[in-house]
Amino acid sequence: MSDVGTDFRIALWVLRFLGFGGFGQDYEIMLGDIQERFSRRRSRLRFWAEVAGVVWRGALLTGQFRRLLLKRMAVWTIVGMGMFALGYRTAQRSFTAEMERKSAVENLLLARQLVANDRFLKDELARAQSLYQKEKTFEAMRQLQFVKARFDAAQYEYDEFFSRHSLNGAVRR
Amino acid sequence: MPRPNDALSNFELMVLLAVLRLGDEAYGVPIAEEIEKRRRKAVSIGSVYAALDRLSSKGFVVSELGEATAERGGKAKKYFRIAGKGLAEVRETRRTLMELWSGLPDVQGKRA
Repeated sequence: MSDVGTDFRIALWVLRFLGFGGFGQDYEIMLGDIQERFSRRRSRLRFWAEVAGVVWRGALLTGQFRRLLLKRMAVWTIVGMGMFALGYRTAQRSFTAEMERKSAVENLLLARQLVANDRFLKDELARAQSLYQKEKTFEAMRQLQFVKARFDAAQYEYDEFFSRHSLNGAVRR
Repeated sequence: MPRPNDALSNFELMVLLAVLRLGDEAYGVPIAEEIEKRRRKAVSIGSVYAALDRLSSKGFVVSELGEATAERGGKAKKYFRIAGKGLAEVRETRRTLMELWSGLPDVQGKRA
């Protein structure tokens, strides 16, 4: 076991310099009390716990320390709120960007589907027209009218979609 | 009538009562040990002195420096004595607590 006197000297230094002067001139008296208790119990751990307790209690007694504590609390509150706001904004941005990307992909797929449908119906219409020109039957006329109605509806949907989304011509082609 | 700031905390009341019990021998160590003995919990010198500091600033206790002993590394003792104002405050607190306790058999260990 090392020299206990060294512990007492360090403790006195700690109390004087880290105690924030909360107990005024009483640190030596308090260290005397702690030493007296130590001489009865011989527990070094207990001794240093007592010293730490005195430092903490002494610090709490001083306005200087309380002001410091309040300032730190204010700073940490601001830092915490800032970090929360930053995190929230970042999460919100990436979520919005993700939704926009998803929406763009869906629109592109729909546009391609509309273009393919438009081409198919144009071919169907051309076939129905040539069939009617060739046969001139009632059935061929009914088929032509039916395909024309579908083509008109598809055209309307196609124009409405492309004007709404202002998609570039690449999709149309 | 005591000012609102003069109201005693639980621990301050214990310290005042320990000072009263110890009489002329009331300094840091015996006060802490007296409270430990009754409370059956460890009490640090720092908390005792913090309470004594508050009691002193309220004018409830007065102190004087005592002798130094080898057991204390040659450091002086500080003896505390209860002041008239402190005694009046202890009596007032006791009266208030007794009135609040009366008619509550549950907190006196009796069944209602």
